[in-house]
Amino acid sequence: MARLEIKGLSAGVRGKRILRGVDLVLEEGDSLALLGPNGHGKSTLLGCIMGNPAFEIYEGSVTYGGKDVLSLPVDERSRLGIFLGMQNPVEVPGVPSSDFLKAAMNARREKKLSLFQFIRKAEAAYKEVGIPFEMAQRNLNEGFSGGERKKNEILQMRLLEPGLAMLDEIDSGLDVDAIEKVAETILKEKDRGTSFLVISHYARLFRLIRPNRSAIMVNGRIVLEGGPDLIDRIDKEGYEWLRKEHGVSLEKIVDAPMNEVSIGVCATKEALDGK
Amino acid sequence: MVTVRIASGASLEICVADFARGRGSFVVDAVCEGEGSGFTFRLSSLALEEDEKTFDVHLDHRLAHQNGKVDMNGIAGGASKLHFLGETVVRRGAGGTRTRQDGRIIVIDRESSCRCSPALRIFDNDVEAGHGAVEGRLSDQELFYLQSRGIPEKEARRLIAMGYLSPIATYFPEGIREKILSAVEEGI
Ligand SMILES: Nc1ncnc2c1ncn2[C@@H]1O[C@H](COP(=O)(O)OP(=O)(O)O)[C@@H](O)[C@H]1O
Ligand SMILES: [Mg+2]
Repeated sequence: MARLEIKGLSAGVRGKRILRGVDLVLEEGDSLALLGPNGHGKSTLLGCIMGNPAFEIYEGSVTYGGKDVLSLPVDERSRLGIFLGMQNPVEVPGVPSSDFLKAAMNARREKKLSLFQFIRKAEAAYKEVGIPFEMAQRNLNEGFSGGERKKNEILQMRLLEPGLAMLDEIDSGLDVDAIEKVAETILKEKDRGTSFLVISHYARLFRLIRPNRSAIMVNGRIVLEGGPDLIDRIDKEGYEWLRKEHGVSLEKIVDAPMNEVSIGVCATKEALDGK
Repeated sequence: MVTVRIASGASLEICVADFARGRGSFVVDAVCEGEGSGFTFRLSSLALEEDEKTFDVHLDHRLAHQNGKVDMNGIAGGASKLHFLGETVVRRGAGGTRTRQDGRIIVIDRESSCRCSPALRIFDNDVEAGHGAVEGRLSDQELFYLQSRGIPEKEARRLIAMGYLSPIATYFPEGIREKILSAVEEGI
């Protein structure tokens, strides 16, 4: 529940640039649909905000509530109120979900939860999200189906009560009923005042959670921002119109490694010229 | 050193939860002599600081229809050295034998080192055998996942390491089980 400000963010993997100067502001209480074709850097952006060690930051800044997010360790970012529901949550063998959840909930509390308090809260959240409570005994994400993993992400969001929830294709792998349940949970969090940054390829989820804004990412940049109307347009027409109406080249830029950085920068300029 | 010969129809299971400190080697020499005999060896080992530990497990399948399992898991921290060696041999005449050999060592500090190279040698055609040897670092994506939920790095490492070593406890009777879990916890 604070302002998120991303300025000139450039980042990549092992010298390969993926984000090429992202500028985006999320006001308190905003919920933004982050759209864009596959492979253009949406997940990378969320990963960089959360601090995924797979990514390198080259330039730019991210602040949340005025704090310099990029200088903080991952766990502090979380305790600041930032949450990332991941596109592909990893399996953590041998670690029971319940131990993990308890550790995560207690990490942001001065007074630790008693076992009884923990069970009461956890059981309610499992029920709300539609996961059998027995699954708390299972190792974290180990052998979970795609849908179970996604529900498990939403469960964690609910229990950790973030100020900013970033959800990366949270609806992929979910059946229609599950999507509705997930959307209900998101709406409850919205009522708490949580801001949302949501990636999805499907208008169905957005129709349910009603974001007030949208932004389109192409080649590692935000090329267009607007209201929720962009969601329906993309759902019906795809992304081609960006080319005609806004001069955005949709061809993916394949970046050379960083030691040939000048080529990357020129290519970006060309692709986005005339916007 | 443990030396065992397993007669026809008999099977033996050895589970070792090793949280001892120091230097030493532990040698197992198991021969499945009789038809249909079986041998299982499970290990969880934690090496820390200056510890140097070697586990050398030999399993010899000599006759038909035997079962074997060698499953070794370890964590090496500090400046320790942890080695999983040995071999499983399936001899000619041990047809219909099923055996599996796995070794996995996770290195959690820069100065720690490991070697995980148990071998599997097969001399009969009609054998079902599996083999896996992994030396690795603690997965940064697993760490990231736990930390992204607010869990501090140290605690996240502890949870992952616990998750890796503690399953051995399930093979022990109650009472000892608790002792193992608290030994894992203290060690990490
Ligand atoms: N961990 C990684 N290692 C290597 N390349 C990556 C990694 N993550 C993303 N990429 C590459 O970066 C580009 C953008 O990926 P991503 O951010 O996942 O796109 P999106 O979420 O928009 O589909 C892709 O070309 C992808 O292959
Ligand atoms: Mg993605």
